[in-house]
Amino acid sequence: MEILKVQNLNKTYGKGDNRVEALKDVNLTVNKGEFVVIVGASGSGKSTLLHMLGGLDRPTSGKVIIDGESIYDYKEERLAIFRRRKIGFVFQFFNLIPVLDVEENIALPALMDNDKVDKTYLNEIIELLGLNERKNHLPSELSGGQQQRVSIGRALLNKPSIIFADEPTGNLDSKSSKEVIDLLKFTAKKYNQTLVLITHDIRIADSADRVISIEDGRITSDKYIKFSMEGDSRYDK
Amino acid sequence: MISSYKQLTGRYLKANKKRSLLTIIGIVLSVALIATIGFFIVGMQQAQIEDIKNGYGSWHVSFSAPEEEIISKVVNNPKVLKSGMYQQGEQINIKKDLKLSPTIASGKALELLPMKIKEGRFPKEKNEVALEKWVLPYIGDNIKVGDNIKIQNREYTLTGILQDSVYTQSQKNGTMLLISDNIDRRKAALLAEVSPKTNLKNAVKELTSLTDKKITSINDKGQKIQIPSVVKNSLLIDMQGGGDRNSGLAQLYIPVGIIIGIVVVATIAVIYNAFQISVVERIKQFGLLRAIGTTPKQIRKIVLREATILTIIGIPLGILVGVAAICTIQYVFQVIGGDSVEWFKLSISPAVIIISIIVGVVSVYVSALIPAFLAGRISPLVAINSRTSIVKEKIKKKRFSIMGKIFKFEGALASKNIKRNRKRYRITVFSIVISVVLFITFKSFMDMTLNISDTLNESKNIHFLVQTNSSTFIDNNIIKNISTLNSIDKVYKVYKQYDFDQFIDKDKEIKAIKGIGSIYGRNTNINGQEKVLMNGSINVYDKAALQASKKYIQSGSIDIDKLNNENGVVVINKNQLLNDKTNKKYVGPIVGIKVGDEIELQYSGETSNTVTNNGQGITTRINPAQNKGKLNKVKVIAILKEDPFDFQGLQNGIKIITTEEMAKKLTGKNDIGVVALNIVTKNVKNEGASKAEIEKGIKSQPSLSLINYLDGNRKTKSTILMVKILVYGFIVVVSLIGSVNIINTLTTNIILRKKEFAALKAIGLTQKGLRKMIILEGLLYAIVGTIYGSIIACGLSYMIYSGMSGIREMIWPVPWDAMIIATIASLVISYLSVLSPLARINKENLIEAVREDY
Repeated sequence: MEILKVQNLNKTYGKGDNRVEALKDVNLTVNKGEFVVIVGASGSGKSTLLHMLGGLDRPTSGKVIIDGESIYDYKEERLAIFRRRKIGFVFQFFNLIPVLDVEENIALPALMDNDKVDKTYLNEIIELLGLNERKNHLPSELSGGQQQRVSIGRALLNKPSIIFADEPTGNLDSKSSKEVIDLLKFTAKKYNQTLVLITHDIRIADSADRVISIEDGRITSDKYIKFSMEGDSRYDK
Repeated sequence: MISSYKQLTGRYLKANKKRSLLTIIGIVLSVALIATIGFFIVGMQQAQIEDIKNGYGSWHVSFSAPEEEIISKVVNNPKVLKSGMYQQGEQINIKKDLKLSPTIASGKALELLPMKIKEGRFPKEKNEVALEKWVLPYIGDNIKVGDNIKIQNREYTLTGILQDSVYTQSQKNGTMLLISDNIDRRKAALLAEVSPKTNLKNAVKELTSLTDKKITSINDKGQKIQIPSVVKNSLLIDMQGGGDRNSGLAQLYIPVGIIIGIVVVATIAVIYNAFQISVVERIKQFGLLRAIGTTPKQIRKIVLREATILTIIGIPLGILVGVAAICTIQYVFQVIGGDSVEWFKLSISPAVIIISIIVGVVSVYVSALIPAFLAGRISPLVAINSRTSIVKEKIKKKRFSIMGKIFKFEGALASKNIKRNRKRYRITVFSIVISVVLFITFKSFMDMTLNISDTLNESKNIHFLVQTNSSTFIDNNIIKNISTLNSIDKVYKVYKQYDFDQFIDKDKEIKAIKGIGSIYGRNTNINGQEKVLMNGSINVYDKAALQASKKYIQSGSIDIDKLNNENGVVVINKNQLLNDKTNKKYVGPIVGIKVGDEIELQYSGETSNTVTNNGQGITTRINPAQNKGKLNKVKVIAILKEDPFDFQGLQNGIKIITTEEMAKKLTGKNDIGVVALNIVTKNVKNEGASKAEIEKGIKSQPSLSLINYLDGNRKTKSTILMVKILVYGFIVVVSLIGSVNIINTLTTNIILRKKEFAALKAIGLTQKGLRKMIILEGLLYAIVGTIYGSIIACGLSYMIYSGMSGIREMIWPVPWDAMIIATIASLVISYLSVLSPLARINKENLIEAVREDY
């Protein structure tokens, strides 16, 4: 079942001599529950692709359809609400709000909907992420790994169908990196979420269902490493 | 745990206590300043109204000899608060030289007349009476309120004592108030006061249109003329706001408008900067919020909530501070002025409070709106790409500049840094410009105001004046006697004023005032040179007066020997005169003269001034010279900026001071004698004793009289002092607002670049070098801001000058002193405001700062 569909996606920056084609004619489909890793050299366009997929930046042309909704048909206001409810983000630089504690940072997406926070679920996440002891600490009082776990918690809170992670381990030591990736995989499985992740780390790519390589804004290879969770058997597509 | 995203606002404000506090201070100061100005204006208006009521009565419309129909229409008009009839009764002779003039009234007319009860109340019944205090001893001994008295064989009960009037005392004709039912309406007038609940202007219009009857009156020249029987109390109506556009109150609105305008601009600038900075500082946080799904509207809400919270705290505090300030001003004024000066009446007007709140709220929201929209438009990508904050800056390439040559590497870096981010550069320079403009404009406006108002000179320190009533001089022995009296501190001799034809070089004329016809006379050829004729006066000063004049020197020096030996004179180069054609007052220099310049003088006559006994009026006697004296060349050895003593003589010529010896030489007269003595006593409290001593001292010359200047001068001095307190108080507050602004911007400028500074340090810049660089940056901003600010401020100052010279004519003074103060102040404030964030950076761990998220 398709969760994400990309059609003829193009993105160019600048004009004239400064014109940079960051993405060229990208087509892509991701199924529900897949763990997709996007790899590529720095400047290859992988981050731009992820931003497009997550509704953070507008493409020059082309469509991104998530859960059947063509997200760039939406205006800014609607797009923001879509991101809030359907998408989870994990960034390289954890990007926590420094004035809010762990619990509040995680609860933030719900608060923006003016929703009552589902306390049980919130506690479940905190428990799951092993942050119980640190619940009332400010981000500045946490280690890098802990901060990244908080941002994973935040991404999970609205039970999104898809999570985008942009080099989530780029700022972490190898031990923390492993913890974070395991956690991401574990929660994705637990809540039946699709996980799209950008990384340089070969070891992470190894543990993915599918690895997409990108070079100069084009997808150069798209490989299924092993059976996906749904048991799809397409190798070397 | 927070329960809504909106609570982020509160968290942020708490986390940035210092800046929140600065912003609140900005709001509080501005609102307080606006409220205080408002209270003050209303207070002044109240005092004026009181003054007018005391002088002219509290009636608005008066009908002379009204018809019965009009009386009933007026009395029964719901818009009329009080009304009543009054007429003058026949004079009553009490003693040989004392008369009483009864005012007979019905209804509430007595309350509407300009009579002030000092004790007791107005009469209400037929047999009741109120009298002036000074009259009482003529009626009987020890009369008190409530006593029964007899006037012309009629019994009255004294219900009230009126305040004494100088006029009635001098005429020996006392006021007497009576009540009567049978007033002859043909000889009486009907007074009406409009109720404060209705529109004054309309009510007055309605009342005055009741009749267009004319009555016969006799004018100054004794001719019979027809005048309308309806009269308005225009002064009172104008002051209460019922007048038309040309009324006194309307003129007051213009300067007040300018001042409030300046304050509002300053407030908006401070708050705008504060919000702009707080948004820029959190640009990554907003980006993140956007990334995880906060809508632009929600972001705007977060920023505007900040504005709301600051408003809720700042505005009530501002109003409180304003109330406290006006109470303090009232208290201080009372201490300084006592009862003698009352041009301000404490009143906490609700209208002023409401207007201040509205102005405050509007300025906060106006200034928060732009940053709020900016925050809403932040791209979510900002959050993800931590490099954006540096990469996105459009860095202007610049060669190593002068700064680099003078201040080495750090200077070069500083000069590159300040211009590299155009937005930040603009905000910082803008905030300094605003502060500088505020200060200079305000100060120059105030200086101009002070310039045209009374000046505080030595004449205001005089306690007594002894003068001759005849054309004789004061005996030298008497002068010696008085000078040696124990209670006397100083005695200045006053001479006659000697008038001269003055000839100056053509190029000494001031172009701007050539239009005032009475200054520069015909061109005259003197010893082959073309000169301009002016008519001026010379005041002769004794040693003590010349000594006291040294305080007022603008250039040159005062030396008695030099004056006598070199044909020297001292010039006061500030004249006050009226332009006959435009009817404007000119205050300023009359010739472009320098120390060392020469003036040709020709004696033309003498004038003596006599002060009347109550110290108010001055009689002048002019004796033109029989034949004009010979032409003398004198040299200017000093120029004074103000009159050391009130100048006696012509204001449309050069005001010259010289010694007795020089005066003899210039006039060719030997009898340059003393006509009056200005006396300063040692202890003002011993007024009575000093007075007695002086009186005894002058007894031997019966033509001498003594005039007490104590009260008059005390009043003038305290009034001037009050004006100065006000002016400088406002300048201080305005400077504070400006400083808050500069501190706010510069501090944030540094905090935002923590990471960059850490990187510089990491690659080997010492803390000392960093300090040098940052301080240089601050100073550079200050210099650029001051230059722009001074230019703009000069423009504004000139505009205000143009506005003011509608009433008075003067030469626009370039506000150099204000500019110098502003330059120094902005440099010092800039220096001080970078110190604290600098210390903060020094304390922080280098590695953490380099790695820090934002």
